Amino acid sequence: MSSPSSSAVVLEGLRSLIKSVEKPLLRERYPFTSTPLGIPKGCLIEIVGPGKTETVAQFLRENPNLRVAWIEDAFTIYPCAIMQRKIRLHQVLFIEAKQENFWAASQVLRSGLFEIVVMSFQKQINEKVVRRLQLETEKANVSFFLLPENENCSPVPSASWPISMKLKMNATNRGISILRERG
Amino acid sequence: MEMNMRVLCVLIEGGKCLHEIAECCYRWTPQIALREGEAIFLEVGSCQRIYNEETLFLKIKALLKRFGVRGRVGIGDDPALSLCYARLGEPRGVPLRELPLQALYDVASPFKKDKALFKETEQLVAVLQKLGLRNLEEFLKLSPSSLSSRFSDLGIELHRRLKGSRTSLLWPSYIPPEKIEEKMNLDDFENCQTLEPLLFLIKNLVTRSMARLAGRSERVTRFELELELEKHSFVKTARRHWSFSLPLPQGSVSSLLPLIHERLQTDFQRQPLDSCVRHMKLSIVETVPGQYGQKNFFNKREEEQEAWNSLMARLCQKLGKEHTFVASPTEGYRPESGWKKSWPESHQVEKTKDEALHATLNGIELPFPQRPLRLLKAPVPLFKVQNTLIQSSENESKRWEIHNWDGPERLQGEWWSGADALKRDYFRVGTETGEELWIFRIPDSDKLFLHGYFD
Repeated sequence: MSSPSSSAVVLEGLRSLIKSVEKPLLRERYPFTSTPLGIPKGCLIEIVGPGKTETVAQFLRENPNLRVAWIEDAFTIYPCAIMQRKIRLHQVLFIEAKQENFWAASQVLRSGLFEIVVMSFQKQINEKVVRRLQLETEKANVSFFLLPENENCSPVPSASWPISMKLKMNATNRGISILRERG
Repeated sequence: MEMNMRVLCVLIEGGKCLHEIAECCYRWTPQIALREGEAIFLEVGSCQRIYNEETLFLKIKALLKRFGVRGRVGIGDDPALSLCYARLGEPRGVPLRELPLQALYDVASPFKKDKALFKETEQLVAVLQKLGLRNLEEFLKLSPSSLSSRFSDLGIELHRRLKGSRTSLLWPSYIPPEKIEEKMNLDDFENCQTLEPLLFLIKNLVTRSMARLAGRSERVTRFELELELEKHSFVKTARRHWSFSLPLPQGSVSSLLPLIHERLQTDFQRQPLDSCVRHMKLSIVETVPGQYGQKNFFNKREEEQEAWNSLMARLCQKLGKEHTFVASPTEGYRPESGWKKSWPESHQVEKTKDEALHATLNGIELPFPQRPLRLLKAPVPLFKVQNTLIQSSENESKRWEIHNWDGPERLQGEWWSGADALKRDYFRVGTETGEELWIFRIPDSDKLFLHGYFD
């Protein structure tokens, strides 16, 4: 009969063997010069701070063939500025959803027609909504950008666990800090 | 009718949904005839290069299942034989020796139940049986010359038809009704008062309607749903009615059902049903031509277009048509009038002026400063107190400490508007918090307005 210590050694050996064979699951990513590994597909990406929309515009410029759904509760995005940033306007569907922005996002994700969804919102979202968005985003394999109007609209830390990537814009030098990156 | 034809007969049990199924069959052949209350005949000889008989059998089977009816199929060189094969349950046909003399009733009048002809045929069959004949093969062995002396003209005609010679049998083409309506009685269903069971039943109506539309090569742009409730003394509205107007034509069940689900859910929350539903009706009010082509295995364009149409319909129904759009640039002096909303007809937008413009702009730096990504719908008045900008409105008050002030960029034009002519000096203002504001001042005045953000 084997002793407990020898079993533990065997188990440890097996674990290390499995780790060496298994490759870590990595999401597919879109290239993006502002983040080292790019932007992952099939997950939520939150960007906070002044210059967040500019960052999204830069990403869309670097990935010109993606279809985009742009959802806002109060429509303030300026299409002429988007065109000025060399983004093809006909690739972008704008939705002014008012209070139904999460419903609209859900419809867009379920349609399977878009590779990128950008949602700008002015009210804080709860964990349930974030989790639902995360599940639908994963299923649709879409990169979903969350742009809260200000820090108060950002999901509270306890509700933000479904967000895979969180970027913060530096107010002084407009650089990007990666606060969280999973998967 | 040409004699080198192939006729497929669908014998439906109880004659249920005969007209509806006949309409659906238009997608396979335009030559359809009915035997009222009993069977549908399809001339399929001309479409054998597109659908082989086995494929048609399977499609018909699926169609019958969709309508919830049972039936038998037979295929032969003429309507009478195909009807006989269907009655016997032998789709591919049997030798004539296996067809009894009673099959002559169908040979005499395959398309309708003619009482006088039936009686005459009955007499003929009785005589043939007395002569010891048992099946159609033996009947065919009789010489034509003996037929004329013993039997009436009917006997000669039937003999000729079975022999395969040209006959004067007229093909009574089926003409579908002008309007598509699907009804259902719910007397056998209990507790149909909530959304989920109702949707399950409405799906059947939608499925049938779409199948009939596909037969006509049409897509729906407007349809109506009506529910009739059980009448009790407390029921205020015994009839509930919804009209659906689609921004883009739809042709599939999966695109219509979510619309109906969404609308009924909202409506039932506001005003639940007072009693169980006893009767429901779906009417297709307006249609447009819409080709249902064969699926392309190499791309999913048709499916994507259907998904796009469905998404647009749902968004428009909930949010309004003016809130879902693509933007395109227009000529205008004012920044706020530099673009317009366009309706996206297709997810595959063809190269438009925008694409051409984009191609032209690629690599070229435009000779005017960058525009902010956020533009307010209406400029908001600002007050400048020393180095602070203050926005004070009914809803909120904001303050920014000025860090840098770049400009001005003079925008002017529309002199023909008189006092409303455009004359603004725009500045790009950086604040201590890192935000960048797009502000304009009316020249020759101290009025400042916040127009946008460089976010």
